[in-house]
Amino acid sequence: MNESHVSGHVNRLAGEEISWVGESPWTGGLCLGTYSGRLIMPVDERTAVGFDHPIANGAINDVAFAGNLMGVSTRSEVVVFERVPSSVHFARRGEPFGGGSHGIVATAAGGFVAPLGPDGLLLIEAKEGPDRHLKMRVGQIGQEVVNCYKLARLGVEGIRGEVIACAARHEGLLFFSLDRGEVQPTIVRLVLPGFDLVDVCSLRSPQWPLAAAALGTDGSVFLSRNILEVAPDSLRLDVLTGRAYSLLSARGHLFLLTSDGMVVVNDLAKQFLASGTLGDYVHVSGSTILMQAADAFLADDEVFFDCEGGTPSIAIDRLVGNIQNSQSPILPGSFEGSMATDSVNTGVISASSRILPIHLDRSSADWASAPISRGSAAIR
Amino acid sequence: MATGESAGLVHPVQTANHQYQYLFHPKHHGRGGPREAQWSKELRRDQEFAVFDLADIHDLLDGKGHLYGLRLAPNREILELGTLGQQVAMFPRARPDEPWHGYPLSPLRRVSPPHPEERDVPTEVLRRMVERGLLNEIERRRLEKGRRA
Repeated sequence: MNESHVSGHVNRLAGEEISWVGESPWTGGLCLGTYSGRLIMPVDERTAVGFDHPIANGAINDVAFAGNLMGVSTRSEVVVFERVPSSVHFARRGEPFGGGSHGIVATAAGGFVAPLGPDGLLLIEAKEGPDRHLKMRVGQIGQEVVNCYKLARLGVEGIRGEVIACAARHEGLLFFSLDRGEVQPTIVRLVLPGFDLVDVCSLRSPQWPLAAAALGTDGSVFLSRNILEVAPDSLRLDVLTGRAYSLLSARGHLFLLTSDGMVVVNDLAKQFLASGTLGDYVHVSGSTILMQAADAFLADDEVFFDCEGGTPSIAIDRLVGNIQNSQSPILPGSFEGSMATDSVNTGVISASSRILPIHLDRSSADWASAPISRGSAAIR
Repeated sequence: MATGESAGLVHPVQTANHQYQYLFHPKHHGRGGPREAQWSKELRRDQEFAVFDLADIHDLLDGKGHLYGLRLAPNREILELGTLGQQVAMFPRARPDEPWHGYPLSPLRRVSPPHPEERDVPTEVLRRMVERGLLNEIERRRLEKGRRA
């Protein structure tokens, strides 16, 4: 196996450990959650929109944006914030939900859904009108205990409406649709005996809005072009070692994070979407990035890693081998809007965010990378 | 705790550190309701006690005196110990001269748990597990975010 190196950056936020990375549609730049419960949106390396204190109890494990609302989840609570009109600032909306969630996704109706493990789903709806209150409900799936672990918003299709996928650990994969924030009665459950499903993601195909991929802890990947109508094909990469943690899909590629590193499988989603099947065998190409990380995130055409001592990020193009030496921008840092700090919205119950001084360092780094030999995937 | 646990068995061995007794509470061994935390059926009694003993050996205590334990494989992998994939067990502080008991702890704080004491494992306990070499930093970070380690 020929080992080479892949270049990227290590991002460090002074005084904080970054626990989550995503994009903020409000600032047009990154959004960072921290292990201390802070959330900041860097404007550049020295300033950010945010609070100088924790906004949630515990490490932020997910953030979702729905219009002018932002949902933030930790293992201890779920908190909703609202953007101050004509501003990049935000303030808390309503009281937090006092239970933890594994994550949170935004819905087309402008609300959120959060997986509460065996307690089911938290549905958050933002009411319009003079009171503008938040409606939070916990819904169980059927009569049995289903361990709702990770959610992914797939797409909107025909009469089904908006379809959400749920990786439910040993209980398989669940699919439910939402109509104006309400879970529709028909819930599809795909039982996969012997597999512990810990992640699910959309394949982000406009042509196949219900195309999804799911991940088992043993590294098995399940793929379907229309998860509600076609049973998924599955494969397991021989090169994959360690416990599988998370699965990402972007630009037709798949990124599998395990306790030993990240396996990048070039074009697998693209090829699968084109043919609808993995066939009797599959030729895969890609690489393994040797990096121990607790989590991985897609943001701003980069994959970010939750690692000890900093937050590495590698451009997607570089991960899939399309570029060797180009320079990434320091930060995607521009935003529009005024700096208003007053909030008079009914339902907003805290002071709004402000411009903070920060120290965000971004230094270059290399990681060992080994190519995946062709044909090293076993199809079940 | 009260002796309603008379239906449960007390382990014949005491913990090595503080000589605590341990009770296998029926509520967490199939007698509880469907939402009651249950030890994995694959776990033998000596393995469940080993989780408690490890918690006591390493003083994995929170501020209220509750103990927290892990089930470690020989290769140091963190194994599941509950029916819902839980990887940490909680042992509420017992009254003096009464046996302890424990149950798999949800990775998330629960709003309406069947057991009043069930909360997420405190961050300081996770950090102590790292200090004692029971968790690595990656596992600590995952557990701190409510993820499977």
